[in-house]
Amino acid sequence: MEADQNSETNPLLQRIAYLVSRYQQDILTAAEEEELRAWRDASADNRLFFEQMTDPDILRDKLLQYEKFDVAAGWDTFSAKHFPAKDNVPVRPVYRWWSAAAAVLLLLGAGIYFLRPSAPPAPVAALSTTPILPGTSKATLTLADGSVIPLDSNGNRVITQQGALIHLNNGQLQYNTQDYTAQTTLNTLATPRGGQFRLTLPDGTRVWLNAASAITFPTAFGQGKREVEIKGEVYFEVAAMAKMPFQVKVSHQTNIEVLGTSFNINAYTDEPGIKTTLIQGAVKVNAGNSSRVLLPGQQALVKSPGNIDIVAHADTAAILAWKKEEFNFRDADIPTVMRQLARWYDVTIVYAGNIPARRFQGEIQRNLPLSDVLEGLKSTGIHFRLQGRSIIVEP
Amino acid sequence: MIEEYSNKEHILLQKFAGGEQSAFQFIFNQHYKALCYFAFTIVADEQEAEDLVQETFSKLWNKRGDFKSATNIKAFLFIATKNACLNFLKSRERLHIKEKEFSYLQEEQVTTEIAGFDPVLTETEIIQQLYLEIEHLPTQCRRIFKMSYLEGRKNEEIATSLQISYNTVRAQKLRALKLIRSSLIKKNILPLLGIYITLLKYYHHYY
Repeated sequence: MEADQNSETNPLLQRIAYLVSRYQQDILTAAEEEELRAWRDASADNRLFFEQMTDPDILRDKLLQYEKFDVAAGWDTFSAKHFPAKDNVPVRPVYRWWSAAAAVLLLLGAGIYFLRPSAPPAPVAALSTTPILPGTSKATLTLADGSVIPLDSNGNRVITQQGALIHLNNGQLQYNTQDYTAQTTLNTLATPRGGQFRLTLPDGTRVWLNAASAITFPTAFGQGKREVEIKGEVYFEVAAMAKMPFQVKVSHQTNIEVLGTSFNINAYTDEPGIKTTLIQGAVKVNAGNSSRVLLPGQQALVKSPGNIDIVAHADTAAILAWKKEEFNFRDADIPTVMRQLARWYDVTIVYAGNIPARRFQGEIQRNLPLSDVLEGLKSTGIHFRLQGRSIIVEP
Repeated sequence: MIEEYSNKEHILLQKFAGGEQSAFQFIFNQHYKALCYFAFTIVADEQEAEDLVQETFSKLWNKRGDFKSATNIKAFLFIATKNACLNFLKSRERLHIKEKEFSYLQEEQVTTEIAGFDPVLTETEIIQQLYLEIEHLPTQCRRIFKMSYLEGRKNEEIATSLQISYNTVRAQKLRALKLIRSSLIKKNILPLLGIYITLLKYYHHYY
């Protein structure tokens, strides 16, 4: 890390650090104790440094002080002076996501800001007081015989099923197939709205399920193709196996052929089309009678069978934000933002009139209560109310 | 890995020299908080500290073609900030007040390189690194660690406010400590291991 080059290359500091940490563990030798005392007494700075760095309360105050400096605000000031907006970009004032939630949001550090149109912030709408909590790790596993096992992040256990051992571990499901000759059966792992889950398939392929998503897969992959079927939004890190291509069926006419790779599929039926984004490796998207091979960083958008649009430079950080427990909106309109909130907080969105034509940019943690997120949105000038589990967006 | 890194640094410096916004913003994001903290420790005024740091970045912008490495840039930023702070204190005739606390400020000469042991700079780097370690904790773990250590909230309060069990809070607090420790060991940042022990002291008091 660049941040500690000075400390890494300063032998005196290394020595002092060594002595201080031994002092704190109370394991100084007499000679070391003398050395440390001599250093401490050599100057007022040294003494102050020593006292402050070994006191938990002072250290805490210093961290809080450090946290106060807002890099996003600093950058706004700086860039306004040195990087005036270019003529071809519509100029919109940059709005940082300031609100009562700011204290929480600040924890994110850099880059929490929202673009807003020039309208002033709307009057603050009253919020419901019942907290709506973010989604958690939960899912259901449907076995071949139709039995349904509810899963959550608590409790570790083992499920056995026809030669397959299934381990449940902290919100992750792992399949270890012992008997490859056993008859292959299909399982389905499904998350509800407000749920997410991780899964390791018998071949070692790793799978992340976003909210309201599902994957159907065999408990053992036999010879030939490895085939799975998904709904919703799923991220894959496919284990490379040259002779056994991996195929993801997304809809009746769309599937993705894979050759050892990682990629994200967003196939929510309320989103405009099926989006496959390649992070690494190579995939081939088949839709009806057309197909395209993606390069890393590209996204395929299938709006109808036989029709594949390619986005050459997809915003992979924003696309994979959900995996990092974040929302990341880049020039997103209100329905796009609201669809994500609806799935994660399991709420319903009601538009009381015309949908305001605003676009958003910004990041926020996904593990905050809904009220914190709404506070931030409110301050960008959207009018809305929360009624039970519905967000009512007003024009 | 090293080649890849220096290659990345090379590209960054090229873009930086060319005045590309993204490269400049990268440098800005990397050092802004630390510089503000550093300046604040010297001038004891948050607004003034931020203004001085803004000026430093303006200077950096004007000299953007002159840098050969990211370390150069960092050294320039801290030295320029320190000099600006000293000049500010001098102009406000406050030096006599502060020098009781930081005798090193008596070296009035304008320095051009980071030399020897500078307690304020060292402290800044330690706080910056520790802050990054905390920011890199898994979300829930970070949240609980911050609520407990930074906000000084009790385990029961945290459990209630996050709707999790008391034992989960305890487990996450310990996990935070373990993760910070293993990260520090991995990075071999000895000065921070001392700080880690300071955190441990906190845990002994309040756990």
